[in-house]
Amino acid sequence: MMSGQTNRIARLSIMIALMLVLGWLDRAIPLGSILGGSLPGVKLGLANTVLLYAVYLMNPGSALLLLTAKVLLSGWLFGSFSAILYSLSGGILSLAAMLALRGQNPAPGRIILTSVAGAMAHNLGQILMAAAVAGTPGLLTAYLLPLEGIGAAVGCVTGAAAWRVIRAVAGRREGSERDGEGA
Amino acid sequence: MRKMKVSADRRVPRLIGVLAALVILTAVLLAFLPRRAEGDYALTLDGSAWRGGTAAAGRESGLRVIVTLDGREIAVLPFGEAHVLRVTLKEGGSNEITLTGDSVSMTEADCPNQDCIHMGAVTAENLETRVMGGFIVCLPHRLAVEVQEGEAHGE
Repeated sequence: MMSGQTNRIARLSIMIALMLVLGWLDRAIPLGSILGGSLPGVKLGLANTVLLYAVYLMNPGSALLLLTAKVLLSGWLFGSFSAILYSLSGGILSLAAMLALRGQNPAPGRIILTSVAGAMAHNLGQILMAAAVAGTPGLLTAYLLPLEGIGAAVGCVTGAAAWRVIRAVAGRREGSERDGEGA
Repeated sequence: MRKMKVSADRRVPRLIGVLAALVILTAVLLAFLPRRAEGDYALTLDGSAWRGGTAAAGRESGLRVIVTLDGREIAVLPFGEAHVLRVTLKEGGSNEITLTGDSVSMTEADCPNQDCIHMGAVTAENLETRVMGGFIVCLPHRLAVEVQEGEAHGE
């Protein structure tokens, strides 16, 4: 019988791999160009669905682990040192917002709200870092509004997707619920 | 819809500690970004070497083009004149900014993502409506071009 620790390692590994693939898929969809060519760094943030799952159905420590691993690995595999900086700052704010807004029960509205907050916080973190790196605080005011608007919209999409997964898994887990581990 | 039970969060203090550690990590990483000083870049204006600074020809007011590197202002040009400014970084990397008299755009850059080129041109008409406002930014090179209303410049 698999020990709890092995179980946990296996689950987390699969989730990290999933996030990496979703992150790669993200980059294959040029949202910034579709929306008019002048919006760099706009992504669907599909990996956030996995984070939402972790926020709701696992403990916060695991969610943090997933975020850190994903940021470092995908920055190393697909991006640059700078990519790690932006993802890290965005991810920290995003996770903090999602954990804060989680609520006790994963109702669909709540999950979507959390997802939207996470997406918007993520974008805010990225702009803050970009402005800090380029030394242009004016960038914040210029870029913030449209980016947050898109973030809100994108957050709804990822939230809806995450809701389906959470409902399916949590429903099946009703009878044998254990902290951080599942059936 | 039945209410689903979610495990209670009991590890907030440790989580805050780890989040704080991540923030510190980010700040440390940020500190490792080299800030470029005087000798680390070269400018050419319209083909000939230029030391940078303000070339706003004593105009009363009007739009100015401000070029910053790492947040430091390295060049100011009047919006209404046609110029081609090339920025070459000592560490490698170059950008070309073209002013046509009624627009500014990044016409050439060797950065990996080319976002600065795709940001398009800034004109007097689209200054307000453009998504990025008056900014054209090359993030990998930490180079920013901003079109701004200028105050009176005594030159």
